[in-house]
Amino acid sequence: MNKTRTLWGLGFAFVFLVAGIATHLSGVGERPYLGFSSAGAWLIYIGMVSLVMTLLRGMRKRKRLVDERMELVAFKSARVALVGFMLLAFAIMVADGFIDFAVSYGMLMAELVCAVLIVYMVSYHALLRRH
Amino acid sequence: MALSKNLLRERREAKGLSQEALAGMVGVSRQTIISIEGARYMPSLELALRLAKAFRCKVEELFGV
Repeated sequence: MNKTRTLWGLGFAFVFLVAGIATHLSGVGERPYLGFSSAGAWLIYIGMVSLVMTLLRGMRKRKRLVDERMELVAFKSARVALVGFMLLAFAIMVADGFIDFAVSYGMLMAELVCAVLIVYMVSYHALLRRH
Repeated sequence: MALSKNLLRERREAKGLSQEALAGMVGVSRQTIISIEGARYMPSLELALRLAKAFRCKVEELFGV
């Protein structure tokens, strides 16, 4: 992992940690959020995960090779993920007309992001075999 | 569009290079070399030029459309 990416990762982790500690101490968002006691606690958790992931990537000795074929496949799978996201969003919009969703907005967006990531990963590995 | 001429495997084998070695020479993964040889992936102009340079030949001698 190059130095710029490490710095970006550390920067994101720092921002999340500071925002989490600040909101937690100031008592903003003090209600259960995505399985955590407060939004601040969740931000601290995200910051810690970002920090650990950045440090683990930084310690990796073997340089990861990314060539043009992988970039092409990544571009194509990103397009598949985008189309998948739009279809999923449309399906949710249609379904919302028939049934009432008892899901919080935060949880819905978290699930949508996870779904997009899964579609991206599956399509990336499937397309990598074809190209 | 597929390549009508692809002599990468023949050139590589004639030079006694493994796919891994050739991949290292041109800076791509072994899977990419396999894909090019299997006509599943068309190399970019840059990669075609690097391959031609590795074999000390013209691009037209390796690939053709």
